[in-house]
Parts: sequence; structure tokens; C-alpha cells
Amino acid sequence: MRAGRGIGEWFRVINLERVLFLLHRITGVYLVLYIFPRPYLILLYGSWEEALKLDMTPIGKLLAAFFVFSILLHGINGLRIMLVELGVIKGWPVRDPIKPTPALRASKANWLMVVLTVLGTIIGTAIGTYLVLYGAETWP
Amino acid sequence: MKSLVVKVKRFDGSKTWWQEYKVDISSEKISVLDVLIKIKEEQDPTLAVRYSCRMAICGSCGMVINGIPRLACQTLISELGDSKITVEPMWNHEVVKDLVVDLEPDFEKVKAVKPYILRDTKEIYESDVEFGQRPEDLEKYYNFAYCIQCGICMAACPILGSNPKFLGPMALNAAYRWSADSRDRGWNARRAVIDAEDGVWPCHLAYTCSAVCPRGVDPGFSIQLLKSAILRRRARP
Repeated sequence: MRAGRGIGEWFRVINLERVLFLLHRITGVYLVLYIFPRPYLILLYGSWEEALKLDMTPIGKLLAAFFVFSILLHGINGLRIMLVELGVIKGWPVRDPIKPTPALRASKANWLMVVLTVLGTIIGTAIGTYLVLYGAETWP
Repeated sequence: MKSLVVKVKRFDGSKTWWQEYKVDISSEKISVLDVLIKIKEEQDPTLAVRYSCRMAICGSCGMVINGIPRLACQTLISELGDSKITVEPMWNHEVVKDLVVDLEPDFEKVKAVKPYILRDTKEIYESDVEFGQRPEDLEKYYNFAYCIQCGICMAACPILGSNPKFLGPMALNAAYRWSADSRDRGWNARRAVIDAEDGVWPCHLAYTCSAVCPRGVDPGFSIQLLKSAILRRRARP
């Protein structure tokens, strides 16, 4: 018997970075499911304009709003991951016998990117959702 | 006197069940391991627990306590702040019995990254002097050498949940520690193992391994240092 939940391990919440990891996975899957079928809708509906009418329906607008959320979170968090992997966001673990601090927890640059991911996603999604639902004409 | 309710996930080779034990303790400044040994001695000698040093140096007593992988000997009852404790075997591992898991796959992964100094044997056997190392060279890998190979990071890793072939933080940390050692010349040999589909690349910075490491090793960061060395084509991490 293998202990744990298998793929369900992705959904276990233990630390903040793991939540971002989970959201990154979910939004990545959503982006694939949202973007890839779009050219094939032309085959179903006969033309791009007819296919785009789906986006004007209430469900279409909701899906578009979630698309905005997905692209912001996946993009900004993805940028953070790339900057860490390339060594642009630097850091070093802080050694302490009682409470050691991992490098990325001690790194101000990493925290800045985490805050940017969260705030950028929330603000961008709020603006994007407003524009999707009400259009640019009513924008103050 | 304080009363604890300890729920342990049992496994006898065929079935799994949760078993509750009521334990009275005189002080909260004892570890979860002390409580499990007390259960074994006074209530249920069939409970299987792996432990050895009782001081967070051997890495034997890794288990999931109240939903977080930890060392039982290092986790005090007072830290948990709860009189209800749940204990289960480390995730992502095959359970042998109760809280004892098979760590052999983890050790095979560590062996695969060649966790020792790789150097020309001529240099080793024909040299009259030892291989020196400056303090600043030591700093490059010292923190990552604290690893006691307890497997807690492997239990915490979400990628290992869906991809058991992933080398995992324990092995990749070992790969970094030995490759970053200035006395080592084995980066190219190790890179062939870690720059692979199940090497460093499945890691997407969930960072739970570093959050739960009982020795402050930060294996999640050592994986990123390996990636950086590969991407920037460095001669060594």
C-alpha cells in the first residue's frame, strides 16, 4: 500500500508556495482547455465570427473571466519560477539551530514576486472581469 | 496529568484502519516518539515504529504528524498545541507495517546521483597531499550537507505523488552537495542523471520539502541551483 493520495498530493495545502504550485497546475490545464479548442470551433460554427458569439453568452463571459485570472496567475507565477531557476532571484539558506530559514523565504526578491503574483492576479482579474462583463464603454 | 488521544493509521499488510489510543502524560515537553514508545510499552506492542537515535540525527522516525511530515523525536507535544494527535506513515512511500515505510527506493535514487567525491583515481592514489578546500568553497555546499536522509522531503513532495520516478528532493540535494564540492570533478557524470525527464525538471517550486526539512537543509533551493547551473552551462553548480 502506497501512503498518500497519489495525484491528490497536489491538493494538499501545507505552505504558500504549494498553493501557488497547485493554482499554477489548475490554471495551466484550464488555459490548454480554453485556448486549444478555439480554432476547431470554426469547423463547428462555420466561421470565426460565429464561433466568437459563444463568448457573448453568460457562460462564455464567465469562462473568459476565469481565462483572465488563469493567464495572470500562470504568467506572473511562471515568471517567478523562471527567475528562480535561472538564478536571477538569488538567495541563500539562513542557518540557525532553532529556526533555519530556507533561501527563498529569506529572499526579498522572491517575496516581491509572490506579492506581485497575488496582487497582480487579484487586481488584473477584477479589471478584466469588469471589462468582460460590462465592456469598455462603461469603464469610469 | 494531561490526556492525549492519539490516532494512528495502522496497516497489517492487507488492510488499513485508524486506531485510537488514550495516553496520559505528566508533561507536554515530551516528543511524539516518546508517546508512541509509551503506547508500545503499555498498550499495544504490535504497533510498528521505526526509531533509533531519538535526537534528530539518524532520520529513522520520519512520519506524518497532524498533517505535516516531521521527525517524531523532534516534535514536542507542546508544539502541536492539541490533545488530539494523528500519526500516519510518510506519504509517497510503500508502507511495510503501520508507521514503517520502505525507504529503499529513496536510497536507490540517492545512489543514482553518485553521492561521493568523483575524481581521477590516479590523483587520489598518487597524490602526496590531501585535497584542500577554502572556507568560501565549503560555504557553497555546507548547508546542504546537513541532510540526514530521513525522507521527509520525499514524503512532502507533491510531484512524487503523481510521478514516483522523479528523483526527488533528497537525491537532487545530494547531487548538488557533491557537485558543488570543490574537491569533486563529477558534475558531467551527475548532470547526465539529473538533466533528464525525471531529474530536476519535474520540480515546479512547491517548496514543501524545504518547509518541512527537520535540519534546515533547503533541498528545494538546491534543486533550483542545479537547474541554474544546467541552464547557464556552468562548469559546476
